[in-house]
Amino acid sequence: MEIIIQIIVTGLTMGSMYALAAVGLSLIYGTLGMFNMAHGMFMTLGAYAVFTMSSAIGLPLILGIVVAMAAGALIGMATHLLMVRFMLNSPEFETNILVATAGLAIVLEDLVLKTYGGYPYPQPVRIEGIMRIGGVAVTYQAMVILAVAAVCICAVAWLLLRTKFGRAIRATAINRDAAQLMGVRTGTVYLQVMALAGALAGVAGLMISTLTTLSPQMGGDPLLKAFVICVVAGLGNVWGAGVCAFGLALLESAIGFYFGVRFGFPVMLMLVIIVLIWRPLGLFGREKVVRL
Amino acid sequence: MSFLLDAQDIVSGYLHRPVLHGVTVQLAEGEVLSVIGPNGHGKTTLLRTLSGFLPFRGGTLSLAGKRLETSSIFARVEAGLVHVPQGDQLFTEMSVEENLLMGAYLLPNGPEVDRRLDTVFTLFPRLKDRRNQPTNSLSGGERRMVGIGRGLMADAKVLMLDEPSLGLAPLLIEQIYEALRALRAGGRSFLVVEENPSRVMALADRLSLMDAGHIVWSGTADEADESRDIMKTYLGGH
Repeated sequence: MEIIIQIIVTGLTMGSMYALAAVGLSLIYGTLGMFNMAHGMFMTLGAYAVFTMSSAIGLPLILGIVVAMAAGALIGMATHLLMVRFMLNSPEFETNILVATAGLAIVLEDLVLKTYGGYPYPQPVRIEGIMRIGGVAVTYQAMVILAVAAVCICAVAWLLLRTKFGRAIRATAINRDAAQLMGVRTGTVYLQVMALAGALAGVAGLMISTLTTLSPQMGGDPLLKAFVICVVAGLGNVWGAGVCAFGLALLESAIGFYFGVRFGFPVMLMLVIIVLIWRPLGLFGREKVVRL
Repeated sequence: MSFLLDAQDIVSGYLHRPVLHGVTVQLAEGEVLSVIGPNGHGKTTLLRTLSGFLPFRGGTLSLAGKRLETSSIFARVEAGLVHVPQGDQLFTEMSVEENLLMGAYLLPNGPEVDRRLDTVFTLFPRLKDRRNQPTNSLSGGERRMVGIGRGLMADAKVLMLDEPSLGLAPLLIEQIYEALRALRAGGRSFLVVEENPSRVMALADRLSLMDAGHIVWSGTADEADESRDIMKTYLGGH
């Protein structure tokens, strides 16, 4: 029983971080049709922004989360304003933006490396201490990560499903031309989506850095896993990304526990291949079917 | 005479292929104008140019006295020029109600939006029964009703409808045109583009015949009746 609780706790903690990363990535793909290779660096910058502020003036956790989200949102908006919007209407947008954001990620990583060096700093904004659930030690930080992810994902779901703003995002994602005909400023929607996804990435970066350490490359692994999650869920499917993040993290946790941590990700990738053979559009992806 | 919609000498097209060569369309308040003509002669291009998807290479556009030919799509919608495009262009994974609410996107949430929703449901009662259904599960006729209803939700001074009867069964076309007649009786101003003039003859105050990017004939429905030879020449016996 303890083993199962341990697997669930670890899986939910990892799943929370994956979900924060994957939901943002999926939101951008679903709305702009853009795979953001710099999403991992958005996470890294969120984590370093909190580290910098906290080192300078000291930050309580809640303010740390605000700073991470603000930093992520700012870099998301800057990416849109300085790069994405000029490429949006290019004929090979999906390929061009993949290369452009990969380039941006390299530049940003180098900048972080130049500014902070490669030393793996610990993230000062975290909560120490443990509690016991069914005999299993669970860190308060894991509980915080779970709570933050739950609040953020519920807030995004509410925003997308229950607000006019969310309706405009979904409408733009489905049919940009028709959204424009309704009076939606699609350029502003894209900017807002980049800010929202950046904010989620920022807070994901903060949460990841509280469990590991800060490093310029810290966003690489979560980006890869978020990408895998998005593909398994069906690219652009925000809800599917959230569900798959937890599903795959629980699987990774179970495999890591029974067979060793090094097998977690390879098995996850094998599962992806099987899923994509079985359902090429992903578990939640659907072909656009319109009744005639 | 001052026109609500006054578009003069429009020159427009796609990249290096000019389609419209000095087209003028004018619409008075409460009037229904129909632009008819064979396929591929610029009717849809005209609406796409008026709504801002294609740039004006020449000519002017004003709505209620406000110049709009260089304005963005958003500014034109905000000014009250609303385009219901060909082929529905619905938000397929969203419900009927959400699609209709998108039509009122520029209005603040409140009783006015609810009132307009009621008006659309009165005009198309079938949509009320399907209000929570995703639009990709609707029939072609129902989707067309959502498209028109969505246009009606907007604060339109002029509604521009692109081939509202295209691809529909005769019974559904009749239902759509019954709704359009109700709108006309309510004093709405709209511009309808149709390939087949037989339906719009009874609806429109005036008709303009478009051929190869030119307006080659304009007149009332009665005058069109008297000009059957012209119609036959351009439309092939409609």
